[in-house]
Amino acid sequence: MIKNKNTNSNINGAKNVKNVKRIIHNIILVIFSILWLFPIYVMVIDGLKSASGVLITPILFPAKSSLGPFITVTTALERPILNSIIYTVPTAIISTYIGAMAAFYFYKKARMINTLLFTIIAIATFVPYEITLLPLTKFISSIGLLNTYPGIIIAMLIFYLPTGALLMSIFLAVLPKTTLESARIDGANDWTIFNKVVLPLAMPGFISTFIFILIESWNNFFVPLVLVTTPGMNSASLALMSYTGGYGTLYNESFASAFIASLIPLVIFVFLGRYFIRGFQAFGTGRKG
Amino acid sequence: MNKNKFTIFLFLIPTLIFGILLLYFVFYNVYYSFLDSSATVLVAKFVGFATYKELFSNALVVSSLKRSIIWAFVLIAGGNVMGIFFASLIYFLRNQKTRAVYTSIFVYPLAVSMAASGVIWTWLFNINDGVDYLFVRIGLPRFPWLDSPATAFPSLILVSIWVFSGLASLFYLASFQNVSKDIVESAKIDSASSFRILRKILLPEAKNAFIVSTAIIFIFALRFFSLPYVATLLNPYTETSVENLYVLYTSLSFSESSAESVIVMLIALVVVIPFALYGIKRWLAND
Repeated sequence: MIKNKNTNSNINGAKNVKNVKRIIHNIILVIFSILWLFPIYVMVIDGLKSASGVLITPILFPAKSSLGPFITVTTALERPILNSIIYTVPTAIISTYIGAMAAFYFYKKARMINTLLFTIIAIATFVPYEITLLPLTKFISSIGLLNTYPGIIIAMLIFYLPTGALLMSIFLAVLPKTTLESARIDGANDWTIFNKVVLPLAMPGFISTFIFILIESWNNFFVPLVLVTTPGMNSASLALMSYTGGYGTLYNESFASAFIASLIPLVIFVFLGRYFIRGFQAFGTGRKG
Repeated sequence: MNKNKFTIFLFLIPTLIFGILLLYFVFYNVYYSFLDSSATVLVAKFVGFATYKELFSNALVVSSLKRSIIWAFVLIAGGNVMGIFFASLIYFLRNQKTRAVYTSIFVYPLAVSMAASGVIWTWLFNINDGVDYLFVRIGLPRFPWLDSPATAFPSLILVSIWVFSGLASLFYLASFQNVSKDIVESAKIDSASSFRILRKILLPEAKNAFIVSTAIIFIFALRFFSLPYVATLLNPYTETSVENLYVLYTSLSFSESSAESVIVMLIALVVVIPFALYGIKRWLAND
């Protein structure tokens, strides 16, 4: 009897320990989530503060809300956001599509010389692009495209096309070669096979690459900084410069502008984040389309 | 057959053209770094390594360079530690959905531009209205953050850890999930603690995650530009200047700027080339 009771309480004890552990585990996760989400919280509550709210409350606490700051910065950022869309959507589409073409080439040909070419593309993907400041500016101005949409898109392509080729190569590597063989027997040429067979099969990878480049190029600060010379051509992240903290600035507009400028990548992340994450994962683990 | 070989090569050409442009930029820097070219020099002449010598005797350049490297190493340490921490917290969750939600929470800073992060954190580091407001209320001393030369740089490193921990956790989580479930389950039945499972079973299998996180964080750290640019551009102490910013400061002294670029490029290549070669085996494996 007594022995039985003991085992029972032991089991209960073990269960309790397990529950306590689970609770601690969750508390730690929640604490770090709050820390990590804190910037989102301040962007929203402070972006909604009126000028008087800014003067009487600190950044950490909400005040009476007003849509004023959001309306002001949205008006100011309309053009930069439109510019960012013009810069990044073609960049992401072209980088992904042309990158996929290069990937298709590497997929079909596995030879020494191509390993070398592929290594160069991998290196180009990871080069710190800031070092091209001078040659990039000189090149873009020598072809007369400084401060123009095509000029900035070309500059972005120089940096993101290797990324597109590398990511698409990783995603194509998992496609079974037998599919291509059967298409070839049907007499299809490479162009048809690429568009009708390879791209549809690699669609999840294509979307990952597109989303990855879209977000990365949206957040690119350097290219517009050196190639834009008039405020009308500013990108969203560049336009933020006029809202940085400083004496005499009210912080409500800083937070509202950071929020508005990040809204498109954040919305994409919320809905299609797994594709963005897969882009990063591909660099690490490869082989997972 | 020959015609076919040619058409498939056409697929590579557009990428090659842009790749060659990038290479051209790199060699342009190398070439200019050996001249004495600048906005004020009409005819540039060859000066060999003179520009490099000058740079290495310039305290500001040396300190910016040091700072870039220190930033990379501290971020690698911090990012890996936090990455392992987050990955294990997420790994031991049962529910797939909860896992996905927490992963997104820790990764989302990567989707926000460093410029926007700079704007947000500059205000959070404000010594009157920011997190210090809370510090003072709960009896802690006011921390100077960006306002003091000694703490400005560490504060920016903290922001970068906030950005990159999630990235490292992705790689560790993938490694952990590659470990056979049976081994982990039987360890649990033997009532091994989660911490023991992590230390004895999961971490020994995470070598790939460590290599990839370290290499990618290093590569991203060498690109840092907009965060210090936005947060402390006019910092009077130049205590947060990294090498990329210095390339910009000196952009009118063409050769100086080029030589700095070459130095950054060389440091990057030390990691990028081995990483690319290491990656190719995994990326293109097809079996």
